[in-house]
This record gives sequence, structure tokens and C-alpha cells, in this order.
Amino acid sequence: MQDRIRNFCIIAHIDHGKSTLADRLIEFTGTMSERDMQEQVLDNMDLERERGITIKLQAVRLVYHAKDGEEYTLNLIDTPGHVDFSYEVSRSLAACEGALLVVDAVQGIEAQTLANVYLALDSNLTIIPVINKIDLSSADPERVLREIEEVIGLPTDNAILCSAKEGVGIAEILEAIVREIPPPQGDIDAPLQALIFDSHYDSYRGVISYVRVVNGSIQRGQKIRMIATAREYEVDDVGVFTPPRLPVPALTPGMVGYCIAGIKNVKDTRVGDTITGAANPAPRALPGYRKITPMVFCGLYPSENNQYEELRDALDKLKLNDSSLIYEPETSDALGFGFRCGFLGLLHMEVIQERLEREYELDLVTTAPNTLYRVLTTSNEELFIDNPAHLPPSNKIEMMYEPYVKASIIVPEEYIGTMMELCQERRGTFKNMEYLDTTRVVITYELPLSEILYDYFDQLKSRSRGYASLDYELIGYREADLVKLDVLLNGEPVDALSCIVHADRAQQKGRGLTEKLRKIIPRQMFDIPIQAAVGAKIIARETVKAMRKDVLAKCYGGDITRKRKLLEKQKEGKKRMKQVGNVEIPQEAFMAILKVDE
Amino acid sequence: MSRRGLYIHVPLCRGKCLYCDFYSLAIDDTRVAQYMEALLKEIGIKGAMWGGPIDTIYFGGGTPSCLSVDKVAAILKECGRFFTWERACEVTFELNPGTTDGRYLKELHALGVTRVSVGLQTKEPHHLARLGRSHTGDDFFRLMENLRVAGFCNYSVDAMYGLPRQTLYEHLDTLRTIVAAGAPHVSVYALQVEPFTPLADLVAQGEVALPTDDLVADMMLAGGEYLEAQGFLHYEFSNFARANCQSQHNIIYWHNEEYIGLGPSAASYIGGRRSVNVPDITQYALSLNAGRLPVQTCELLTGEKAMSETIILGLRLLDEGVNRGRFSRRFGRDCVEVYSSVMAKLVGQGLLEVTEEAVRLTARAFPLANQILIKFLS
Repeated sequence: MQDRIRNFCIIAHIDHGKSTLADRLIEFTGTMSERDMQEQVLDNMDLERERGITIKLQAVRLVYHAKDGEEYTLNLIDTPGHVDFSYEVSRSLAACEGALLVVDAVQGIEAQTLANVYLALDSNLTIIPVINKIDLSSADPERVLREIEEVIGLPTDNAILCSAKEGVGIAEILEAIVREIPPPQGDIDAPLQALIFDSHYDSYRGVISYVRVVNGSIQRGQKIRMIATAREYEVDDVGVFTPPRLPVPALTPGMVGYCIAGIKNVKDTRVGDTITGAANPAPRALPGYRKITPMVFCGLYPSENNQYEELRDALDKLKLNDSSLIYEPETSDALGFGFRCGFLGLLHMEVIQERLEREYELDLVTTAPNTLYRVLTTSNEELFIDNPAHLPPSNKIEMMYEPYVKASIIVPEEYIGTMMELCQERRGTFKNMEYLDTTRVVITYELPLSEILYDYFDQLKSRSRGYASLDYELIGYREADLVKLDVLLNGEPVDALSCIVHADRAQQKGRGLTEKLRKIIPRQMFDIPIQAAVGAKIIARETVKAMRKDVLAKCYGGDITRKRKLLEKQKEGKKRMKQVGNVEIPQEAFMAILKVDE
Repeated sequence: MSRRGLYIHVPLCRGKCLYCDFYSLAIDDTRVAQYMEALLKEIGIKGAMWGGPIDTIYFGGGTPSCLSVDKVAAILKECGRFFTWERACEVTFELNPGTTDGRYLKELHALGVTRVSVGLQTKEPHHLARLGRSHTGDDFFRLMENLRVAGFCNYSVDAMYGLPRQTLYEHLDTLRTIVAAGAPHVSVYALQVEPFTPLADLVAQGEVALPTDDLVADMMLAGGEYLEAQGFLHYEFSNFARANCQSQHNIIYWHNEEYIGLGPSAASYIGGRRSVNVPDITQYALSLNAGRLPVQTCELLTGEKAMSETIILGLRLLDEGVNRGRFSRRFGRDCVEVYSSVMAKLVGQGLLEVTEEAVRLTARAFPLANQILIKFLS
């Protein structure tokens, strides 16, 4: 039966139609009746459907009756398309033998497609090119096929033209999966080796591990051992995703499914770890994943202090499904008790914030994101700084280093100038430019990561009218002339407003920031000076003038309830603000630095 | 001794002002008849429940002067079947310049109306027109003359500031005109852009530009200074009076005492319960014709909530403040004790004054009163 299993994933840029194609495959194989299909079955997080992105990888088992008369089990393992989630991509690739490379017939190859294809090629996956959206009048499949051959160097004679929306080419894709992708290798009689490629916490059943069995088998009642943690458990249940969980007697080599083993703590099932049998353990673990370090940090604080415990519980739960999220408690004079959290990138940060607010109903104050700085002190100590407030005083700093990325931007040639201008503004170093075809180019720049955090992606998109796509990878630390920009309100420094900026930009950023804060901070009962300082030197100043009138004029018999409600609303609004000394600061002020116009 | 007021809402107007969010409809004979029939029924029901002595009566609107004198007489007569009031009781009647003649006013006076509240707002005709009001400056002077002839010596004039494109000078000039006409009571309000009014739409569309917050603050402060210099007592946030000319009916509200409201959208506060009538004349009439009170919302205000409202309303009385004795008699506790920490802090900041008799806002605190009142919310 192992030779009738195919494990594959879909690689696609955002909007190139991956989720729609997945839906069609599920429909075509009759895995779910049309009635049960919610649009885009794989993206079952609300946030994913709304934003049209895939965040968490998911798995679905398709049962397909092929033209050769045999019945095949096709396991589709979803991959996120966004650059922030390349870690998740490498996880899904490790569980597959093949990949569908979906490219939009109008837009062609984009930066993220490239990055993910190279990951797949590195993992020795069989790749089937699929040109989607051929139903569109502006589709140019010939050009896109040429791009795939020339840019990636992938033969396209096995490529399939399809329209997931219209259901064209779906049968051909399924046949190609069976024909081209090799069945999984593996020995059922060897000691158990199953790769945990994801996990999920269920409040009734505990941790549910998503596994791909490589050797041996796993069944109910079996004693298993996690190789990395050496902890042992008894299996309660194993099964497959139809997509709803369906128990099966055993998972054997090549099978993708779930394993429930009474594990209460998600930390005990590390994604990337290998499950083996307690009785007959495998001598070594399967190759894991490229370990990735979060490079984007921000402070997350409950807007009301009594929600601190809830925030911690929520982070713990999210961590169960997202091992890339890291956090540790921190305190701020301005914001009280909270967490410094590390993310893979900006989108990852936004997704986590939104999930905390939506799924856990938390009201959060977020500080502006920063990267991880490396500091060499005068006493020759090496520090990694993830919070600007913790930067040592400048006379204790020998040298500072910040992370750099290599950014690849794919853009139509008429936007070359604007893109280069943007990269120059962001302290970028030009590296290379290559034509993909006659009209599109890949521009390569080296940029400080911190410059990408502040409004870079939005600028990239708006200055190219949405045509540019971006991918980046970290290339290490470089020496940089950086300073800490502090903000004082009413003479008091507010730690949560500090940021690290390039020395040449300090003046400009300081002016922009104080001006922005003047607009954000509401008038209060006294004048509030806003100052930006580098060390002891004030470099910019603005004042929020005292409020002069705040009176509800009319209040007679018929108005009393309504006027009281107005006052209650006003009080509620104040409660949402953070009190620092005598000054009330709205939550958005802590993100103001991001909106300082260049 | 706690007092009780009677409020009668007349939801009819000749036209609707652009800023108005009170319940009112264009006047026509059918509506007047529908209103009168239902109102008399409501007086019957509420009179049976809460009849007895009352201390003030107030006809508000809308435009009460849209009603003919015999309708007003019928309302007072029906009230008299259940409620009793002294001859000297304050009976206030709201009217707009240009809606009444000398004879109407004489007849009102003869019916026992003792006080008139005039909706002037501003003397500048172009501002009046922009607000959708139909009277002129001359209408105002004629009205003042007619009031004197009819024998009214207690009357109030409303002025409004913060109007689109209004200058500080124009506002002060309106106040000067009111004072020169001899009004013993002036109410001065900032224009509020209430949601769902035509004015709110105009502002949202950018058709109407409102003055800056600073100009509005200047108007409030300069207007108050002017009236105080003229010998008026700034006795409530928006109200100024010569000696003994304060509005007794409104003081009942600010003392958080009881009142019975009649007519669509009118509010009653009695027995610790505040109920508000439906703001719709048809539903109002349907309920009453079926023998039911036309209540839309009702809330019970007890304990902390009632104490909090008593403070929030009482602090509006800038001169009198919250009377500690009256508060203790009502709630069995001294308000300074109930709100000890809040009050101590405000006193320390020079925003509140606590004496043996009363707790009041300081002159400095008044312009930012909301910032202080919210601290007393329960």
C-alpha cells in the first residue's frame, strides 16, 4: 500500500491561487461533499481567510481513483506563501516527496515563489509546474513557462496549464501527482521513526501531533518516545485528516496523520522532533529543520494590568502551535508588566497580535518593533539587545552591529528607478540587477533589517502600484553607527517610546516623532512638553497645549442618562490610555515611530 | 424638603433647526389632535399614580408656542385634576421669537404661566438662517416688548456660541443685546453637533466649518466674564441669573430631585426610577389609547449610582454646589466620606472646594468640568 501513497505540497506566491486549487483537488476527489466545503478548506483560521494568506500549515488526505484503476492516497500538506513563514515551509517540505509549483499565468514568477522553489529543490523534491489562471484574458502561459525554465532552470515539459477557478486541468494535475511524484520510501519492519511537522493543542484531547511516518508503524496503545526530550507516552489514538480527524488502526511508512498520546504540554512535542518506539527505539532522529531565530521584537502589554495572566496563558497556547514565537516577561515604567516577544517578521508579528486580540479577546498595547542588535561593550562583553530601553549608555558601547538582509525585489522595468530610490533612502547597498524576461527584473540590495520594519513593504507596493514582490534573507550582522532616541513627556523619559536609529537620521526621526506624538496625545489639563533626546542632548521639542474647555453644556431632565453615558464613555477612553506620571498616552502613541514620514 | 417638578414636552415645531436632536415634528392639525388626546390620557394615568403637590411646571419642546392658548389651558386644567400647585409656583413656557403675538402672551400670563424661556440663540440673521431658524432680530425686540406689556418680569433668553463662522465679537454682541433688553436670566450653550442631525451631515461633508476649540473656549470664558461683570450670577455651567431669578424647575434636575415627564420622549424620575417615553408620536398615542404608559426605557438608580448622579448633577451648580446636609439626609452618609480619596485629591489640585455646607467646583475647575465629573462615576 506504501506505493499508492503520494505526499505533496503546493508552492505559490500569495494570490496565485493555491487555496482555490487545493479546494478543487478536494472537491474533485470527492473528499468532501460540496455541501460540507467551506470556501478554502485549508485556510480555516478566520484571519487566514480574511487576509487570503496561509499561516499555519494543514494537512488533508485525498483518496484518488487514478486512470490506472488503482486507488491512491494523496496527502496534501499546505505551505505558507509569505516570506516570514519560510520556517513553516521547510517543515512541510520535509514531510513531502513532491511539490506543485503554482504560478499565476498573468503575473509570472514572484520573489517568494523563487525562495520557496529553491528550498524545495534543496530538499530533493520532485516539482510539477502548474500555470494557473489561464482563463484570464491577459494570461500569457508561454512567457511564464519560459520564465520557469530560464530563471529557475526547471524543465517544463511536464507543466500543466490550469484554471483552478474554472476547474480546468484538475484531473491532469492529479494524474501527474500519481505519475511523477515518487512513492515514499521506508521500511515497515524497521524501528519507528515519525517526523513531527506540526502540533496543535486541543482543550479536550491535549496535544495533537501532526506526523509523517518514515519507518516502522505507530498504533494505539503503543509506548512511544520523543527522541529530543526522551519523554515517553502511550498512544491514545492515531488517524488521518479527511480533513476532519478520522481514526485508523495504524500509521505506516509514508502516511501522514495525527497522533494523540495524552501529552499535556506542547513543549513536550517539539516540532521537528522524531517519535520512535519506547520498546525498540531508532538509533537516531530524522534530520530536523533549519533552526530559525526571531529577528523582530516588540513589547506586548495588556492595556489593563489585570489581563497579564490571561496574556501569558494566551501566548502559551499560541506557542503550542507556533514554535517560532518566543517571549519572555519584561516590565516597563510606562506600560507595567508585559512580554518582549520575538517574531519571524512583521507579518508574523501582526498575525500574532491579531490572534491574541481576536481569539483571546485581549486588549493589547504594542510597542514599535525593533530588530536584535549586537553590542560590544567597552569591557569587551557581547550583548544582544532586543529592547531599545536596555541599550547600555553610549560611553559603555565600543561598537554596535545590526542585522542585514539580502533583499530580492522583482518588479517591471519601469519601476527600477523608484525601487532603487526607496532602497537608497533605507541605507541600502546595490548588489545586482538581472532581467527575468524582457520586461521584469530582479534587483538585489543589501539593507539593514531595521529599515525593512518601518513601512518598507507598504512603500514598495505603493511605489510600484502593487507590482513589486519582495523576498529577503538574513546575511548577518554589520557594524553601524546607531544611537538610542529617547522621548520625554513632561520632562519624564518614557521607556516604551525609546528606539534605536542611525546617528545620521536621529535629528530627522526625533523631529518627526515629536510632531507625530503631538498629534496623537490628546490635550490634557496642563501643557505637555514632548522632547526627543539622544543621550543628554534634546534634539526636538513640541508641546501639547493644555485643554481649555471640556464641559457638557446642556444637562436637563431628559438628558441625564445620555449625558452620564457620554461621561462614562469618556472615562472608558481614558482607561484605555496609559498613565505615565501625570500624562495620559493613547495606545497608538507607542507605534508612532513607524508612521514618521521620511 | 424635596421638591417635585412637572415637565410637558410639546414635540411640534414650525420647522426643524439643523442642529436639533430633540424629538419634534412639523406642526399640523391632525398631529396636534393626536398629541392632545394622548397627552390628556397620560396626565390621567400619571396623575392617578403620582398626583399631589408639585413645585414647578415646565412646557418644553419642540415649540410649545405652536399650541393655541386653549390647548395650553386644557393641559393645565387636566393637570389640575391630579396635581396641586401654589399660585406663586414657577410655570415656564418655552417660545421662539416670531411665533407669538401680544395677545397670546397676555392670555398665557392669565393662565398662570409665570416665566418664559426665549430661544434667541444669536441676533445675527445670517447665523440664524444658517442654523435653519426662521426668526429675525426684529422678532426678538418685538417679543421683548410684548412680554413686558403682558406682565412677564421673569424670563430667560438662550444664546448659542461656537456657530459656524461666528466671531467672538458677534457672540458678545448677542449677550449685550440680551442684557440690554433687560432679561434677568440667560442660558448660554455651545453648539453641539449631535449625531444624525442635518448639521452633522453638513460638517461631515465639509459644507460647514466649525470654529476651533480655542475660539469656542474663548467664547465661553469671555461670555461668562461679561455676564458676571453685568451682575449675573453664574449659577450653573450654562446658566446665569440675576438675584432670585434662577430656574427653579431646572434646579430640581440638578438637585437630582423628582420630576414627572409628559409627552413623547419626556423623561420622568420618580421613586428612584428614571423612565423615558417613546420618542414617536404615533407609538406614544397607540400605547396610551391602549391604556399603557408609553415607556421606552427605564432604569432603577439606587445606592452608588444615585449618589454618583447626585454629585455629578450637583457640581453643575457652581455657586451652591452639592449640599452636604441634603446628601446625608438622602443617603445616610456624608458625601465627603463616600468620595473621600477622590475629593481629597481634587482639593489638593485646587479643583474642588469643600466647606461645612457644600462641595463645589472652583472657578479654575469649571472649564474642564468633565475631567472632574468622570471621577465621580460609579
